[in-house]
Amino acid sequence: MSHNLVAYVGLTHLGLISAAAALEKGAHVICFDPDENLITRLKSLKYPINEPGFEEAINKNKDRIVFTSSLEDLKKADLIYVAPDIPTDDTGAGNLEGIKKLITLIAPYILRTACLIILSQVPPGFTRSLQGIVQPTRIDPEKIYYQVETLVFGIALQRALYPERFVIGVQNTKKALDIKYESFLKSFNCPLLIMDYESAEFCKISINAFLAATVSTANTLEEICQKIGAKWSDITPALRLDKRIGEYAYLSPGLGLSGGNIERDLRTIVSISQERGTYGKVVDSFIKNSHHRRNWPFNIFYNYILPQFSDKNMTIGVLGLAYKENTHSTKNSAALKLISQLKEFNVQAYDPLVKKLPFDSDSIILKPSVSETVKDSDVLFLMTPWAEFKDQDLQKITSLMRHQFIVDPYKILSTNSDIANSKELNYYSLC
Amino acid sequence: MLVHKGKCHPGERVLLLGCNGFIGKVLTKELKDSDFVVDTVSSKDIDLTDPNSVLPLVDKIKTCDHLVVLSCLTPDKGKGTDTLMKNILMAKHICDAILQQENRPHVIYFSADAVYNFEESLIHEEISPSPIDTYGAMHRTRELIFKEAVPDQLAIIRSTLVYGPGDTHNSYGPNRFRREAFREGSITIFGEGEDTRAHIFIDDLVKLTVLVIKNKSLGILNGATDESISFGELAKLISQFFNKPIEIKKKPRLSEPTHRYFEASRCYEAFPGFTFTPLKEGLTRTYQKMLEDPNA
Repeated sequence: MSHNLVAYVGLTHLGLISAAAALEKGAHVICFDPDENLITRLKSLKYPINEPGFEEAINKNKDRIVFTSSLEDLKKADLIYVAPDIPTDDTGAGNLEGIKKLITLIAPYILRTACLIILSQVPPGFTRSLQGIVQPTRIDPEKIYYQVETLVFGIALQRALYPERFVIGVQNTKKALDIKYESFLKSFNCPLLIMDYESAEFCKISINAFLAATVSTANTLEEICQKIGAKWSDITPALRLDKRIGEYAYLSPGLGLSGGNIERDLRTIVSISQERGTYGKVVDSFIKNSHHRRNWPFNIFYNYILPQFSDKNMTIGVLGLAYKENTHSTKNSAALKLISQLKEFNVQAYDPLVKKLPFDSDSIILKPSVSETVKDSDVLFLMTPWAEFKDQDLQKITSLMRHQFIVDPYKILSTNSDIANSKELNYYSLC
Repeated sequence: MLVHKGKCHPGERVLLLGCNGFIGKVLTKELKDSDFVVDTVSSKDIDLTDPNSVLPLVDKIKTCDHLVVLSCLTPDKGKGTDTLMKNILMAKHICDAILQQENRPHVIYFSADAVYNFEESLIHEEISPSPIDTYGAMHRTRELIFKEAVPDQLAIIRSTLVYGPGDTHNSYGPNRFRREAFREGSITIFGEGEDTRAHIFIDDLVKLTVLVIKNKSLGILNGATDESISFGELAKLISQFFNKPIEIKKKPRLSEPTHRYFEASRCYEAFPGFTFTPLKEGLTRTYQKMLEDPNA
């Protein structure tokens, strides 16, 4: 590939992972963020994200990466990716003020020959609306692009290095892609799908809606399986062999949509549907199903476990706080939802990466290890399927507990041992 | 979902409108046992459908911190438009009296799960009400009347079918089945009794209400367990309490079966440690009470 100089603006999970992937493809990379403290930390090799292969990729290619807070450095870049997080409010709706401010800040430092590429998750119409922001600057409006990102926490670098396809939104589909940008994209050896801004923006949302549909359908059907005595785990292999559903479909039962990004896109669809008078209730149902599903551990606790305790002064152990394994993110985490519901009880929790809760609570103690968390627990919840938890010995765990009530939605613990069949163990999982 | 605005002080005053009904009697006792100063009004004291009721209500409400509104003409007193209009008039007169207060009380309005339709298979507090009959529409309308009068001081309890000793109603469900079995040796159900409903034990509903008052809670709470049962299964369950065979009689169904399940997680979140009495246990306690007092 050519020697592109690629800048990433907004050093979020997305920005940093994309920068690491660009490094691995041989590009020279500028990582810009107006937060000087963040740049200082990054320069001293303290990274705010945990992703398999990320640190190795950065360290291996450190002679080709610059972390900076200087806007002047952006003048050197051929391609400028903008990748800040789009924060969501309590209802899951996205706030675009941050990304607009960031683009306004950097726009005067972008050369006319450079491309400005929006990588953050934005609603349809956003990229076209940038024309107003960039008008007083040297930026060529035709060199503004929107690129669909498909970041998946925990396997983010792998997906960034080997994308299934690139979906690019352009101002004018009749015009050729900028040659440097095209050259950079082609270095990833995947199909390029070029479409107008609105289609690309909605493409990203559509991908998430389809994922949500699969997750919601799987969770809905699994719940029915629980009621009628069917085994969802027996059904899923048959579904995966159906080409219309597929090997990689999200069929494992879970605790709803976590992470925040998918729910934000679903809210965008519902909002557009309301504004434009289309029937969007099916998508609204995905959100409601997700919220219903997130209550599963709490409902198990109240309906099956709590009635068995005359003394409510019990200790509850929670293993896993992140919304999924291999990430420190707790956005929309089912574990945090559970903990907020159990605030009147004594809760001790452990997560391999999450060492601080996003809210204050006197009744929750963060423990340094699995065994410290399990010790003297009356009830144990396994809320994130970390590999560390999968390796735990059920016999050892139950021997540390005061009472043996285990809620293990993802079936993390192996229940093949004799202890699993003992009368003392009360074990609850999704099927 | 409920929001708690603080804890009650000992001796706070509760005015209970509709004190002579099934819930009113048990709630009055529970409130007194919980050290509230309780004042009560029944339909014999003040006719709330009468516009002249506003004046005496103004005086009554003036002295209360919490106002519990149970007054309602239930479907067994008539299902027509007259009943609907009378119920709405009652709400209007109560709110007229509230609006004349300098300090408006914390209002607890007893609504019903009839405000929900049957399209939703799993009901919780965030489901939008959408009544399908005049009884449901009446409660929804009254909810809105109260919401307009005391938007920041209102708790709404949407109760499902209540059972327990002392029920003054005899509607299709646990109390009627128990009485039929006791007196006639049979229970009559529609079709196979396919319709599914949740039921709440009177003691649980009263406990929840006291918690709402004690915590000065605002918002919506469904008074419903997450244990639903078909009327057919319920009839079988009740028949097992008796030492004699109970015949299950079947009448032709008049409509398609409907089902209603509740998700109680928001109730558990609002009141940690609160648990519902399991249906079987509640029915057993009701049956035992009936043996002591056959009129219960």
